[in-house]
Amino acid sequence: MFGNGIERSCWVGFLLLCGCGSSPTPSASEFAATHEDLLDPQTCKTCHEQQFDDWSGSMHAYASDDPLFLAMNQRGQREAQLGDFCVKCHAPVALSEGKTTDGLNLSGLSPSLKGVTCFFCHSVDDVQGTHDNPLHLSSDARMRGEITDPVKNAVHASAYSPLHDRSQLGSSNLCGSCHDIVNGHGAALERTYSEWQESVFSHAPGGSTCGQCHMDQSKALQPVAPGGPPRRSHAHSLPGVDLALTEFPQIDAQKQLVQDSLDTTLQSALCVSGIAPAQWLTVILDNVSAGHHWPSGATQDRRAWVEVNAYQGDHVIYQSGAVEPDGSGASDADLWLLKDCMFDAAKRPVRMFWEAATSAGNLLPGQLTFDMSDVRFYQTHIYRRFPLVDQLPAAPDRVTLQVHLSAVAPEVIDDLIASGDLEARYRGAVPSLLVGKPLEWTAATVTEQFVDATVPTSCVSQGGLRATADKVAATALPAGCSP
Amino acid sequence: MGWFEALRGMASAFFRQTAAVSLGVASLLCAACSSQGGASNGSGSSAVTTDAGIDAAPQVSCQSDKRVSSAALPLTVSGPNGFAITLSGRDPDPSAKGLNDWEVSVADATGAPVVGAKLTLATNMPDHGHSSSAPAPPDTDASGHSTLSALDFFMAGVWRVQIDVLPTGAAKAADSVVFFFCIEG
Repeated sequence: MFGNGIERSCWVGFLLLCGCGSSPTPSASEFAATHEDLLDPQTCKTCHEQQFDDWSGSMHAYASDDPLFLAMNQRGQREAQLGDFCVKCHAPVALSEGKTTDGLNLSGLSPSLKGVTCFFCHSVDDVQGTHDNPLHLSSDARMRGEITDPVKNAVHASAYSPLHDRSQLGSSNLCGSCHDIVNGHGAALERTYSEWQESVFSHAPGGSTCGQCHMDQSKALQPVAPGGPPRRSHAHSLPGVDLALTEFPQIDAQKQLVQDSLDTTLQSALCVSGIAPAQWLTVILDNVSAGHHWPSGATQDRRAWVEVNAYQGDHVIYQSGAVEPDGSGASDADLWLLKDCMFDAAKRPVRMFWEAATSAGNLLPGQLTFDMSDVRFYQTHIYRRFPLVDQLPAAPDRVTLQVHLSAVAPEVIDDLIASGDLEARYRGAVPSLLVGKPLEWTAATVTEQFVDATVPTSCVSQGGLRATADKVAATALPAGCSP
Repeated sequence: MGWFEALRGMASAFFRQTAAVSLGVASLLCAACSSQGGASNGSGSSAVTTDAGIDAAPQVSCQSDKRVSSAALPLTVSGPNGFAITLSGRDPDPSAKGLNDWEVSVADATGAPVVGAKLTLATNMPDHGHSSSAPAPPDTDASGHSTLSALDFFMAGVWRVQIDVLPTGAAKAADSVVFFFCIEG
């Protein structure tokens, strides 16, 4: 009936445009959009332009195109025959449509099949596990969302689903199922969902779901589709800490969202302890707003670290965590590095996730309670001294603190380049991000002075962190773990 | 033949004759089809189908928190010394995650506007134990009004804004007024 592409495109566009607004409810077989139409995010754009624009710059849209994913999957298939392990979450529609089995052919597939698409999320009707994508997709072509009274339209059937309702605790089960990864050896590689479950953020009514932090609610009432009633909607840009490494839509907007989030994730304090000449620095970090550990996600590949610089006049008298001139991470003996380490069954450190039998690290935990009278409130205040042993070589008159994050460490990228799976042009492509504003200690900026277990201590803090409050010492990285 | 098939036939014939027709023309035709059938633009109240076996999990929201005032504007809160601050406007309204501006007016215990007072802000999430920065607002004007700009409510939950009022020439705050409110995620 629709013999050529132009005709079909026009026809579908015609019906979709007509269908955006309310209209008589057709029977199930009479909705305009076919299964193929619904698979294609461009179809969604016709009526849901804002949501499409948000999503088009997200890491969900980028999931099948990310050169690091493609390189790691390629290497994993070669070295460990990973099968559909990666594409279950990076290209779930291509997998469910039978267009790929291992992701090695993704570059030849239609864009509508790549990434974590509108169709994928909005077709989920059940969550049948906790990790590695146990999501069940409906076959009823009904698009699910958080709207309890969806407008009748001629394009697709609609339904409310608590799994898509950001105000429902259970909505995190949907997101969490791909943001919690366990490999074939049972190593819990990515634990964002389980970390959230351990935190107070997973408790109603005062917590926060994944969507409430990563899908901001609109500030104004606006139709979700043309002709619909004004509603609160929510953003689909889904910022985390990863960024596109190649040309991609909305890249500056995504960077800003990531930076906005990093600016407020941690609160910190910087203290000078002791009496000259026996003085040292104490840094306190508190992961106050992540709702899961920080950093989180692929933490075996991520690197977060603390940079401190102590000065006497213009002279640097002590330094730890300084970024190398070539942009690579710091590596000094005192470095406070936050990451996960992977080990094989013989407890030898390994670099690639398919080799891992266990994974452990020293990430900053998420908040455990909202009750300040509960001792657990302060168990997420983590401190570390600099230098680790001995004292500062001289009394400082100025000290600075800055936390850094590399979403994918340079050594991980170098490893993929060395194996021939990643082009060399990606060396240095992952930016080092600043986490929060820099903090400066001087005699003039000190906000707290107290005696901490007989040690005179003076501190400056940001985010309202009370340095005098209880805190726990940072744990070291597991033995044998190399940066 | 139902309306859908009729429409499809018309559209197919139309496009067959004019393959290069723009979707802009099609959208004009939409005006007719979308106005038929009497469906309103309001909440469509189509039958809501939820997936069997999926429970509505507990709701996560601070709207019912007992500390929170959900009263409409203008909202007046008094301090222990009788000073009253009226929140008369906010952008966005209601306050939302991100940067917010508030319009406030300060009156003393007699109800008279407090002119030229310095306002000091302390913004935090009491359950989380963290604060948020905000620029110092301008002193109150001749009607006791000031604008609190760029209040950064950076995450969902219960927020507390304490406003200390320092009248002209006073050595310490004459009163302290606290607003509790809910930022939805």
